[in-house]
Amino acid sequence: MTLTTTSFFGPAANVQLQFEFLRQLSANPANTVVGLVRDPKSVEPKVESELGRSNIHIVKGDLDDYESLKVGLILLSVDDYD
Amino acid sequence: MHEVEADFLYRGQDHALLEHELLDDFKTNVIGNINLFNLFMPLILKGKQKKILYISSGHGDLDLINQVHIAISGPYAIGKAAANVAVAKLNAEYAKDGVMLMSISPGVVDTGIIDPSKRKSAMVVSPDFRSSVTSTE
Repeated sequence: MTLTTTSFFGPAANVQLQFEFLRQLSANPANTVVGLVRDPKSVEPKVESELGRSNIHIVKGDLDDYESLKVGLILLSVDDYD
Repeated sequence: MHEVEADFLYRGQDHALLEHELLDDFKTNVIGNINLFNLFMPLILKGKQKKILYISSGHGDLDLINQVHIAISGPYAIGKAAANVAVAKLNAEYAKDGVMLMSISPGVVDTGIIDPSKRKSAMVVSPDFRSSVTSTE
């Protein structure tokens, strides 16, 4: 995942308002949108069926769990960000 | 009464539950977001835009609370107000690095929690207010 254009990252991507941010920001294929969710398994099917866009990435993380945020960060950091 | 519509008098009937609600909201929405900002700041600093936008709420706005007398949703509102300060503090801290953090309120969005007919308070502040927007709008 090499990000050459605008990238967005947001928590709670499954919640109604946040999911709409995910939908509208990812409508531009040049954007990369990363959504942080507590349970990717329950969110990924919705993202796939309703949006099905390759520029959306769902990362597991919970604001209440510091260690999970660190893991989410590592998942993002291994790739090259511009 | 729906939980989000309860004021402090109502919530205070069970002070232990009220304390739990306050701590719970603070942990997630204040401490959680500060941890998130701190952890991800290295990536923000490496980026070109260097912007963090925090989706806050009118509930965290002192003027709105006082002008319209919004007594409900205390724990949530306190969490949003505290997070607004955290965002301002980080904005002050990282301004020298070209990073901008800001809080915005998305306005009154119908997320299905509260009956839209009870949204008279928005009309006091904005006479042109007619209804909440949907999340798509």
